Amino acid sequence: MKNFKKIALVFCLLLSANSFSQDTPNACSNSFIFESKFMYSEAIKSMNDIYSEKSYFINARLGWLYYLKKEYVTSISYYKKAVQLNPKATEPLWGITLPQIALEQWVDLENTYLTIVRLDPKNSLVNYRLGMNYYYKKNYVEALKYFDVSLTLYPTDYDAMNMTAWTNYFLGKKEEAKILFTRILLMYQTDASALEGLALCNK
Amino acid sequence: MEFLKKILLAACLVFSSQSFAQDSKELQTAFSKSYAYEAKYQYDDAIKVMKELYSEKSYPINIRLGWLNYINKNYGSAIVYYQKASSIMPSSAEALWAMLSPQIALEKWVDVEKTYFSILKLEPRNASALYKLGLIYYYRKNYTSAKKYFDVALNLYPLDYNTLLMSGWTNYFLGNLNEAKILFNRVLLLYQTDASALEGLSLIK
Repeated sequence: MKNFKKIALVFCLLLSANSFSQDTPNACSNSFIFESKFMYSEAIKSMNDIYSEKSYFINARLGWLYYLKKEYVTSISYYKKAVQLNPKATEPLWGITLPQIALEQWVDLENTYLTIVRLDPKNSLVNYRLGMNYYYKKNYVEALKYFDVSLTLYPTDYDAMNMTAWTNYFLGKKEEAKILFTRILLMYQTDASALEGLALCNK
Repeated sequence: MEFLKKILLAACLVFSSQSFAQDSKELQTAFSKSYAYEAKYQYDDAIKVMKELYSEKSYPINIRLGWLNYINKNYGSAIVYYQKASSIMPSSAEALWAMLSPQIALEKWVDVEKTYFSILKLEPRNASALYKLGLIYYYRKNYTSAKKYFDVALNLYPLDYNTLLMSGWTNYFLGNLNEAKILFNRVLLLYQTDASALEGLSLIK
């Protein structure tokens, strides 16, 4: 068993050394140059030439490049590999949300956000996005749960204030909605959404 | 006891409706004027307008005065207002992030460190706060503590340039040369001619 472990360790070291071969920085550099010239196919080819299933960097990079190339399904598959290689990283999960949005895969997107929020429970952006997800589904109770986290951390954030206000309005909590719409108007005196909300609350 | 509770509740509602009424028109006008003054770099006037309606209990007013005093380079006052905002809403990370700017301007590094700790209590996985705390310890040559914070940030964002580079150097100074090498190499994947990563690698070889 000990021997097996040693062999496995040597194999891993070789693999790791292999993924940082001399060609790797050149290939990456080329891919950045091609990307800056919008030559995404060539950028992808540079990375594919040094492709390794075990490289987080290469898979995340290919996820990004395929996203830019609008090959969203392929992009998702590479980001998923990056996620598997680094399951504690939120970075590839944020990456995967881009092609999922492009493909309007809302259920998958929700699952991705839920995975992010498990890794980073107080991340205000993911809480806001989950709130939006439930708001558009008219699940206002669930939406409020996530908007509240975001708003508590950033009490004068415009988006969090506005969406929390509307969510409260649709939950029938007009006083809470009114306070938030009024707070928005302190910062954005002519904000159409807040003015509309306030008018509805005052009816 | 129940009666006392009712009185307290009534007092709260009166107070809340009072501050809400104040919120409505007067405050909107004051905020609006203060924005107009700020846009013209007339920070004293912007502050004066806000102070005329000052309330110890108002989070938006204290936050606004914190900001206006900061851009007016009254860093001590800015900190006082941000601290008030933070005590009104202790779960607000926003007030703490804002307070960092005047603290940094005054080079109050011990306070900056404490503020980052407070932020991490509210946002334990905030990569930016983790990275900045790592940097504080790195510059104090406390590489063990620096690594603790850089590691968490790097786990969340494995390809972040700054975190990769500083983790590389921290590992180097801790004598973890193999880890440092891997991290410097990873920086070079992103920026092939990065001087700092190349220097780190040349020291290891």
